Amino acid sequence: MSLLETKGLSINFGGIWAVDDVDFSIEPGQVFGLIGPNGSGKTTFLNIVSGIYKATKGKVFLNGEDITDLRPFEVFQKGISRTYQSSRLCWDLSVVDNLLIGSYTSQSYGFLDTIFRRNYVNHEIEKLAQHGLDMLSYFNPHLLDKRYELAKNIPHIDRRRIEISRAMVSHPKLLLLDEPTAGLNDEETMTMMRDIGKIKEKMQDIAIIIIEHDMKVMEHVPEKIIVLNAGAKIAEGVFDEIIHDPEVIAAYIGGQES
Amino acid sequence: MEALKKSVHSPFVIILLNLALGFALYGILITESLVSIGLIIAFIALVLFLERYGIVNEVFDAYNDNKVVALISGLLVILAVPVSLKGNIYIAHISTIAVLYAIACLGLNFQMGSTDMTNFAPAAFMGLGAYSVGVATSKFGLSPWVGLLAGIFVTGIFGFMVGLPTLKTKGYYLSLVTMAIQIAFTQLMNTIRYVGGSDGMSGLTKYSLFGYDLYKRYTFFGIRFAPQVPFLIVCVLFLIAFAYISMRVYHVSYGLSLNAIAQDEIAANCLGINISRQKLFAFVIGSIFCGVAGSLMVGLEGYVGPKSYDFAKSLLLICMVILGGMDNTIGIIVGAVFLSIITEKLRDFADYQQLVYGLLLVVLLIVRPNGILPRRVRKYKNLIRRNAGGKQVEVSTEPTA
Repeated sequence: MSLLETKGLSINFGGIWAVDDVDFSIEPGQVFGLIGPNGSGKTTFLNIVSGIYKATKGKVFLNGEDITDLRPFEVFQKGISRTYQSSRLCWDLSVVDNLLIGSYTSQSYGFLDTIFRRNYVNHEIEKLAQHGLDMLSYFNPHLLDKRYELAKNIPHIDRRRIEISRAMVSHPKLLLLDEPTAGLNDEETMTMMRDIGKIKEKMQDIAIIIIEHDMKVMEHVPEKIIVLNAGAKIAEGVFDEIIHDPEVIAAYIGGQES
Repeated sequence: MEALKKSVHSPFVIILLNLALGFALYGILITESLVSIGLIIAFIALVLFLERYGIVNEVFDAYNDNKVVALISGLLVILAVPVSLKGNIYIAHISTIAVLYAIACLGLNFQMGSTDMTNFAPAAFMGLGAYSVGVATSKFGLSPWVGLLAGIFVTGIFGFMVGLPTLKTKGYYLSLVTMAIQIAFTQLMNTIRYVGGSDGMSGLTKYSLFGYDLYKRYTFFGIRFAPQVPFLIVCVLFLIAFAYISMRVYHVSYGLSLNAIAQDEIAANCLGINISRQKLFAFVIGSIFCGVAGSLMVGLEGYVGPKSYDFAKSLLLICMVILGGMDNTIGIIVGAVFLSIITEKLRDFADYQQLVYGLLLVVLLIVRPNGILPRRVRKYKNLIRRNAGGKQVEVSTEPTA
């Protein structure tokens, strides 16, 4: 049984099929790339999987369980965590607080505990804050010195690292990275792809889907690449197959010309 | 100036500062209106002067570093104020009002400060609490404490019901919904005969504790206290309890999730935060705080009426939260006490009251746009720095930034 499986997933926005009949499946521990020209429905696909959009047709299964109609926070609780194309950190909160929000669901105390069992609750929060910082320092140890700085004062690439750490502290089964290299220069893009490689070293069983519109970034990490165009899946395979696929070349060149 | 900045960090200076603030508060309370307004303006001018040299923030940092000393000495100074007031009932009255507004503002803060949902109806919730006591005592002949408990239930349920429609609305629309609720509440209470209509209910039973009348003159250690001082102390105890709850909620995942919702709802939702539940939590707990404040308000004059809980009162509470500092428990208490005293002292300006009041607010918010005490970054203890191999490198409990 696959970790995540979509069957005929489709969504319709005002008469346009933004995602059109996409079948997809990923096993635990795999790293997939999802590419396609701008507007091909990559982010929409992620938004359906994470519960932000409701699919018009089709189903999403996680470990065989139907999660199509769950709300975003329920999808997260099932073990699907994500990042965003333009970072969605809480800008007015500190780095530590941002990481702690990631482990919101791991905090098991109740309301009365917070008032009457002060030390127990504080200890639990400190443990989770430490866990988040450990995760972050795995990418960039220097960020620890900035743990009480507001997220809006952090450089762009480090914001990405915080966002990825925030998505990982809850130990998800599936991590969805929406254009983790958006807005980074070439050198930073390479660093970021290396950082994503590090995730696998830390958590072997985690499955990752990376969205990208830039083909050459895909060369480094993914085991298998899925190409979307105009909402439909047009190709699937390893990097070398994909770059020689005539349909993919047409989609990319056609996309650039128009 | 640098030497001055350094010196404020010693505990001794903090005790001195608390004493000075206590004297300033005492001076403002005890003097006649014009002199006290002069004192308030002089105090604000002094703060503005120090602000130019960055000393105000330094003082706040120093207070935060020496929490225990600051809290204990501050509490002693505050307790010394009613003792030194002796027989002055007017000032005991103002202090009680200030304390009760502070409780209501702490409740309002869960919605406004933490979750960024501007609620224009805190006075309506105070009114619900007050009317619960009114009905319980005058219609059913129960103790006002039972009324207070009933008020907690009523405001909690009402807060939940008000919270439900606001889940679908955001920003200005949410504000409009709550405004409508506030106005509907005042109109409703004006027309319902059972609760006295526009006359309200007067001559209600006041609070007593273990058979002791809380409004009698008591003599301790040879000092004759003002009649209301026992009730004031009960209210202060309530404030301490609620301030503690506020601080705890702020520090743990409840407060953090509310902040996350305020910043980015979609991201919060995708991180496992049940937005509807947390928003309702903010509404219910905030309403209960306001309700308790309203219930205790009845104990002041034994009167409930729609005029005491109208839209203007809601605006006053909102001003207190904004001026004091959103999402900062101590800041909100300072803001509430400060504005309550100013409102009382400005009464003698009669027609010019609103003008002077507005001017003071504008000047203060220009100087400190985020309120007197803005939101602080949460600090966590015992955070250890490890290198990539998981080995401990450095133990740091102090913030490095």
